[in-house]
Amino acid sequence: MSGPGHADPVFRRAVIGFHDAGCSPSGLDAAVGFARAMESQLVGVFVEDTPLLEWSSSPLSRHVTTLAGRWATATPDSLAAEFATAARIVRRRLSRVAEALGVSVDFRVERASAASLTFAATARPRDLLIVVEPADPMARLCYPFADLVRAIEASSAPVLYMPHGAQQRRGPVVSIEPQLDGESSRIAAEVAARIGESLISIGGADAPWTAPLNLQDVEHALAGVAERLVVLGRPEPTSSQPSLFATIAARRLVPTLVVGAGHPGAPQARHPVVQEPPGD
Amino acid sequence: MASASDALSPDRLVRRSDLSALSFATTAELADIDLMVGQERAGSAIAFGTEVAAQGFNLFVVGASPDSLDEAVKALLEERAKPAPPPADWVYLNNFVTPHRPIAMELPPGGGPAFREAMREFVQDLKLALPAAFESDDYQARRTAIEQAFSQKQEAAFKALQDEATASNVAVIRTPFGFTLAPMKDGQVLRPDVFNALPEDERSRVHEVIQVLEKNLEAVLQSVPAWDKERRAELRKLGKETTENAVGHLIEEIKGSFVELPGVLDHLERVRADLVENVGLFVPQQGNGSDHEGDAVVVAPFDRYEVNLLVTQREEQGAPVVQELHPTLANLVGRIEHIARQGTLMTDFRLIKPGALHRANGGYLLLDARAVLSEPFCWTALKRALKSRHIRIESAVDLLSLTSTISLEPDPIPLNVKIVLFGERILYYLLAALDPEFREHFKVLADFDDSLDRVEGSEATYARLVATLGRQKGLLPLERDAVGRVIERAARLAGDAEKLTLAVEEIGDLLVEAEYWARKDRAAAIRAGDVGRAIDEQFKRASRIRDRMQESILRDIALIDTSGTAVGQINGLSVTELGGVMFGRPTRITARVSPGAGKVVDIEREVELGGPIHSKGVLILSGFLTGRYGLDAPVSLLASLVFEQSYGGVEGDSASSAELYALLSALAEVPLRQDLAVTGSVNQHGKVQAIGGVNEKIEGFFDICRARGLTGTQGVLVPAANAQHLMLRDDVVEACAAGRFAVHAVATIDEGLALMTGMPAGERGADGTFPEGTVNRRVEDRMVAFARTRRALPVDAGARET
Repeated sequence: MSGPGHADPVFRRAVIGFHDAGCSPSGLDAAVGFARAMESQLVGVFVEDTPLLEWSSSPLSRHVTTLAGRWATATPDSLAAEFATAARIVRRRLSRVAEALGVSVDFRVERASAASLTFAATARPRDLLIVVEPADPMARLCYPFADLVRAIEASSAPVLYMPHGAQQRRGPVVSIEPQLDGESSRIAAEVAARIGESLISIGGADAPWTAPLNLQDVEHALAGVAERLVVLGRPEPTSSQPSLFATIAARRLVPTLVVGAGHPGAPQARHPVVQEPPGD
Repeated sequence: MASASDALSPDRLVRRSDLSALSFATTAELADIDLMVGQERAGSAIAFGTEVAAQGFNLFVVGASPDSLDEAVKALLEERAKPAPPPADWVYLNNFVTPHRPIAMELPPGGGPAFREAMREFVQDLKLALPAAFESDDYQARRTAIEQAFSQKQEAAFKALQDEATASNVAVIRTPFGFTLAPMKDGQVLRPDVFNALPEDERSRVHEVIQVLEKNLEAVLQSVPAWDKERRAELRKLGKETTENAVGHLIEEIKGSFVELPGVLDHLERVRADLVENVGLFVPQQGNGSDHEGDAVVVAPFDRYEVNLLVTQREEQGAPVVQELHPTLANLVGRIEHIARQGTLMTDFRLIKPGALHRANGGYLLLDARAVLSEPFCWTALKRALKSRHIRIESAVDLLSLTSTISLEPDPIPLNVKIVLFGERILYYLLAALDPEFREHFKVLADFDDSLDRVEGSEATYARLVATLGRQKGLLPLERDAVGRVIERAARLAGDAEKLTLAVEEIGDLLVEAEYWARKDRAAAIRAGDVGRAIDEQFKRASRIRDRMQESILRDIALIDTSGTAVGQINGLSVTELGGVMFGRPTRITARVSPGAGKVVDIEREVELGGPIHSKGVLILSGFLTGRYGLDAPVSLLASLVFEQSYGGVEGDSASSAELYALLSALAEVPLRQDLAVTGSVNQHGKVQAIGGVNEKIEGFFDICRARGLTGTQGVLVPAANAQHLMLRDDVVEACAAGRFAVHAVATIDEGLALMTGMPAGERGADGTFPEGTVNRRVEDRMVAFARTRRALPVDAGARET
């Protein structure tokens, strides 16, 4: 499990955000397992998406469930009820996983924008935000998750991106540092020490790639490595390689810890939900 | 008065053992002997029954003491079973198609453990090989490719929809359990109030666009289950291929060890097919582990390939000889156990447990008949198994439909067993009479003799039997005199000086007790005194009732005279058996006579305290009186006979001679000696006949007389035919030898009358009358007087003629 058990945790709290009932089971298991390994206090936050609630008052508002496959009128009340149900499901699943691993969990429900890491508003210094990839590929492509991924790039908070199907295995912590700020190496070293793994650092002055960092470079650098965790300094997003951390995580099926200063200029969410009325 | 010369000589009161034919100091020098000694008839029957292979030739062993037979018979059967070929091993295997019907498989003797171990190793290998195969890069790559193809298919369809929606300024938004569509402008979703502010035609257009997109999204969502089904099918196929590769060589490896056993090879093929078909049970990520949730019998992964070794036999063991002391239905035919799982009782093929029939299959099964008959369903189950020649596991609970737990119907196993039932003779005869199937299944009766003739050489044989018993029980050896004492005890237990009991259990118990006393004295061997002490202590332990009875006589509560004379009063002798101990006691019998219609009233019978045999004895007295004295006129007598102070039932006819003496005394008005006691039955011709318990009866009267002081005139009249049964206690014999007590053997009532009255009985002379001064004359005269009296009485004065 952990290495030096008496030192302060690297991350005091691990805050997992949810916004629907479709959280990946394997991703959730791995996320809770990581929080336990880091000896961080586990917190679950279910975000009831306020823009969606607002839209539900429209007469046009209808929704379809993936199970029934039929359209029905959505109202603020029905949507709120769905959110409450989804929150209960998620809470139960999270508790079950946490209990199985012997971890206590704090759970809360908040209303905020689900697309903008707003649950980070509850975050404190030395908190780790965890975003678990949905199991449903369609959910990954649309609002709010697609926007959330972009928000991760823009944020400066440490965010653990947990892919669907994440493998929990022993292996080195790989630090990839596209920029020379040393942030990812420092955190990667602390994490590796905490979970008792070796550290592989790639990047810095000896980086085997030429900026900007892309997936091929990472795959090439990690050839033959079965890592447990990738710690990635936030790279400059490019149009050819948006959300590189998510791509690395999905391809290698390992959690990717995104650290370093964000890039507010990164492409914004495609569907910021609310447009002010003309003239406002 | 009876003289010493009338009495039996001391050497006829007990037959001392004669071991002169055998030279030994202690039994340590004597060789063992077969416990079946003296049982040639039963031995032949057992030999016949065990050698005949035909159906139904099972054995029913009977004897007076069946408990003591089983050891001897078991030893005999084990001897016969040793060279016999060992029976097959039997295992139960999982039935992968219908789990509630486990498959029974026969294996060569001793082959079961090897097969079980092979399958255990196979399972251990599986536990490593299967996960390794499914964690391999090759498998993971192919699995990922399938998953990605599925995701890509969904993504592609969804992306196309999303592009279409974006082109129409509509956003696709994830809701907690699905999706919704919302209009947008410049990449941003319109708020409801903004949307409502749009021109009517614009709103209608958006509405129409959303309606079209809704249909398209619905189509995409409806396609997902079909794509998912394809994905699962491909994953299953991949899983099967991977499993086949992972387990194929393991299966072939085991098959190599069992090439001679087609049944095992078939089972291994079924295992292979099951593994491939149900790999999800073993590798959770295969995801089809819940396919069995609806099954009635759920066997845990890997456990399903275990081998339930029901019975196995080592090759050198020969045929099994099994004794089931507690033959419940489950212990006989086997049982199916259950375990509680989440509040439900569950079972599987591994919980099938063998019964005695399984363990004895191919050999011999020894059962106590009484136990089999008293256990519910056991007798019928045994007969069913013998008739069908198959062991079918049945549960009493199922037979009674008491519960409805999930249970199994295991394959029945072919049965080839020789059943040996032990029981009392009465059980055999009752079963033969009342159970029409009994003779079909138990055609061979092995009837054990209760005793051994005490002829030349038999005591030497018995000495070896005693030596064998002592050694079997791990006792000290017996000294020569002690063996003699045991032999005398064996004769006493047989109730016959000419027999030796074969109830070896009782003799064994005596040896154990004798050794106890020998060890108390730190003796190196059991001595005659130890045997005598053991006999005395055995009696003493159980003689509380006898002591109380004697006490009541000695305190004149129960009235028994042991001196003087009395008319119509005699000391009869009865014997009581309580808890395996027999003792005799005197009982006063009295008779009263008067004129009447020729009836002897048995008061015991009138009050229903007399049993039928006793009543028969009393009725015989009427026949005797009529035959001897009623030659010219009907017997005009009303007589009553009673056992004084007897408040329990009276059975047997051993007191009929005493009753006759009392009756004749009352008729003749001749007193009877009270210092004598009488036992013996009588026939209509006045012949005294043998009775049982003669030794105990004599000793019972002797003890009373001795307690009051032996006078030298006291004694007992016993039937002459019982003289051969006398095995009296040493103190009785010594008293007789000293002339202080006597045992008289009488063959006729007349002999007894002379002894009891001191007056000759008298024989009818040529003139048809008895001589004057004889008992018979006085009896006849009295009866003539009764007849006259009766004739003189008016008809309505017959109140006494009951």
